[in-house]
Amino acid sequence: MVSAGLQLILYTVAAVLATYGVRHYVLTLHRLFARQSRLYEGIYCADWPSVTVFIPAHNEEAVIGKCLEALAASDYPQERLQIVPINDRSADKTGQICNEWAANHPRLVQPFHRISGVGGKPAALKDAAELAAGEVFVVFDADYVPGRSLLKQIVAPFLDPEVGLTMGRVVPYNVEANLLTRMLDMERSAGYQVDQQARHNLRCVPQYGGTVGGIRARALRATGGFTANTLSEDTDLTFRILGLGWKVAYLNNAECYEEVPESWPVRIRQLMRWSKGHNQALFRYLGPSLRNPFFTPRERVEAVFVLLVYLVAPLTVVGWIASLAMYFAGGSHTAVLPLLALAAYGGFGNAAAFFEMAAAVRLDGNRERVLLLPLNAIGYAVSAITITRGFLGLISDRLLNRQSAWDKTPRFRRASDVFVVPQ
Amino acid sequence: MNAEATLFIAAMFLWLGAPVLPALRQYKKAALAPLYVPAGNKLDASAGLSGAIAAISRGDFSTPVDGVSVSRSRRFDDTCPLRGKVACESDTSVSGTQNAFEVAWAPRFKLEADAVVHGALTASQRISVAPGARFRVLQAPKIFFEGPVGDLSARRPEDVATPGSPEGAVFLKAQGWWHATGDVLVREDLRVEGDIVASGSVFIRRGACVHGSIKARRTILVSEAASVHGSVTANRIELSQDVEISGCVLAEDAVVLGRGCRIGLAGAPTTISAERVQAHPGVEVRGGICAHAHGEALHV
Repeated sequence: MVSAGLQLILYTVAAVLATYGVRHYVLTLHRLFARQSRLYEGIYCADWPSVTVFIPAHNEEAVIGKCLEALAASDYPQERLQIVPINDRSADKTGQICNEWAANHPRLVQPFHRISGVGGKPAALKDAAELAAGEVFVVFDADYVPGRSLLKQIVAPFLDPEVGLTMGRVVPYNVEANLLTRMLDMERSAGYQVDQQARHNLRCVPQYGGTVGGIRARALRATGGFTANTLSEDTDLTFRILGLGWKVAYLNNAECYEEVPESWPVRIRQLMRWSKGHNQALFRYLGPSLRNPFFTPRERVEAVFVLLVYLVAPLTVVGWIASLAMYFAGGSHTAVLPLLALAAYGGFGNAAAFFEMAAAVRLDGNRERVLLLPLNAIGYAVSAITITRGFLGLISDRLLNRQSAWDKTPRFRRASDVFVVPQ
Repeated sequence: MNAEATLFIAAMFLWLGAPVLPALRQYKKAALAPLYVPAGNKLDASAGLSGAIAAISRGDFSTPVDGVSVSRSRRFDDTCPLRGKVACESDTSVSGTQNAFEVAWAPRFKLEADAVVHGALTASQRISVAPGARFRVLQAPKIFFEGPVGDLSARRPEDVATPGSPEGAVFLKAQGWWHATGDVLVREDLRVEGDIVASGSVFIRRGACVHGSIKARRTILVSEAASVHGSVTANRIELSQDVEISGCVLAEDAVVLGRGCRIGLAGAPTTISAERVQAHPGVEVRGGICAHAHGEALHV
């Protein structure tokens, strides 16, 4: 009986991983060999909509000045641009820096000081968005350093009335810091260069990532605005806006630098929050996505894949435990089933994700970096366990009726650090 | 532990550990630069030329600025091709197939019939394109494809067009669009207010007018003397003779501009962007054209 149960678990895990593996291969091969969509590229001049740029900032004195400086140098028509740094209950000099910028650029920079209320980026965005006037909202995290033409690139797809959200590409700038940042760079590369671009090509469901992206203000208002009670406002917003028929456009050339965690504890906390937030969205939007009348069949399948993606890690852990249990339980299946599981994980699960990563690194022109690929197995194991912990944390929060708290990712850059966008 | 188990563990160690060995070469490597992110993202072809243009306006033709060469030549062809980044002090004609430049700026450009240019041509006043010329990126307040201009007087005034609804679409109030799961038809001399989003194709008949942007997953076909006050986005866009579009024209695959079409307005320049752009004589574009793969001025 126990053995049959374990068998069933293993077959289920292997089937799910194999399905995701096939998806990884399809996306990667499409990215490598098919024609890439360039629908929103090369838009030099247009009747640009008015834009409000939000920069949520909680104790960001080290980085927010550089972000404001980069945005003020943007080539977006200044008369249609409003920059709103959101000073979210900061205890450092963030508010002071924002005020100094506002004093020097009174029309362009209009800070929003938040001194009370629920903490976290979604709540801060919710409050600030209610007062903003732009037709398009663009969000940058405070540690981002946008290039001169990035705003135009992010806003251009909104000339298409069907686009409700846009997403640019995030590139780590602290790649050289240590092994972790180099591995995270590869992971980001796979996620954007291959996964998001292929989904955009195939008219699947590219995802809005919460930063380096734009939101059509009308679409946001139609869905009721930002939600404060979520840890993953990006996934939440993606599925609410998709629910009303708008689409997400991914822009691989709209690149912007960010800082990735330089220590494992910070990385683990970030992953835990993502896991909780994404699975919150899973519980909220799986049903509505299956019934979404605006989805094509392909979009519906892809939406399910995207929503379930943070369940793959807990399933993998369950698979590992089941494999071990079967091995030690003995019996006639012991030789076959662990092998089957291993083949499923290696052939379609992990290896497919690594194949995607290798393709991304090659497309980015960092051929040497592909040598780091085997070490990503360590990152994969850490991720699997952390995401599982996040998932279990969310379940216990729901059972105990606890509010999941926003956990800010610490910055590693100091205000004195000189950061120049490489040319 | 028996010999079989030891062998198994050793094999597993080799299988899993061997691929990690080359990674050690990268483990402590500190010279890994982040990805190259172009500061200007190449959106504005004239961005790199601003210093040179300022120098020309001062009458300084001798100082090289920002890697830009300043040219007094009035003509580039296969014997004297365009190279690199070039700022031309006067009106310039380009012909031949050997012009391997990145960006070129001049007050006015004329692309001759045999010209094949792969870089971005930016003019502060006007670009004229002769039938047969091939191009990639053109930017100017006025881009004119040489040939007879359409008979604009024959165009029906918009206020005569009858207000109405597009066929095959329903209006979604929250989204503010006309939405269709299949094709949409805007009948002759009809005026439609609002954006149109269709999963199929959109057909705009003769003399019809749409005040809003249009998105179609497949094709947008705009018939003679029709107009769109907004952007059009589709896989393929075909505009017949004397069509007016005030916004951007964006296609995944191709844009075909019929004789005498006018894209963009004098005070509100716009962009045509597609893999392939084909323009008949008499087409006038105010703003830019970006043909990712191939742009061509067609003969009559």
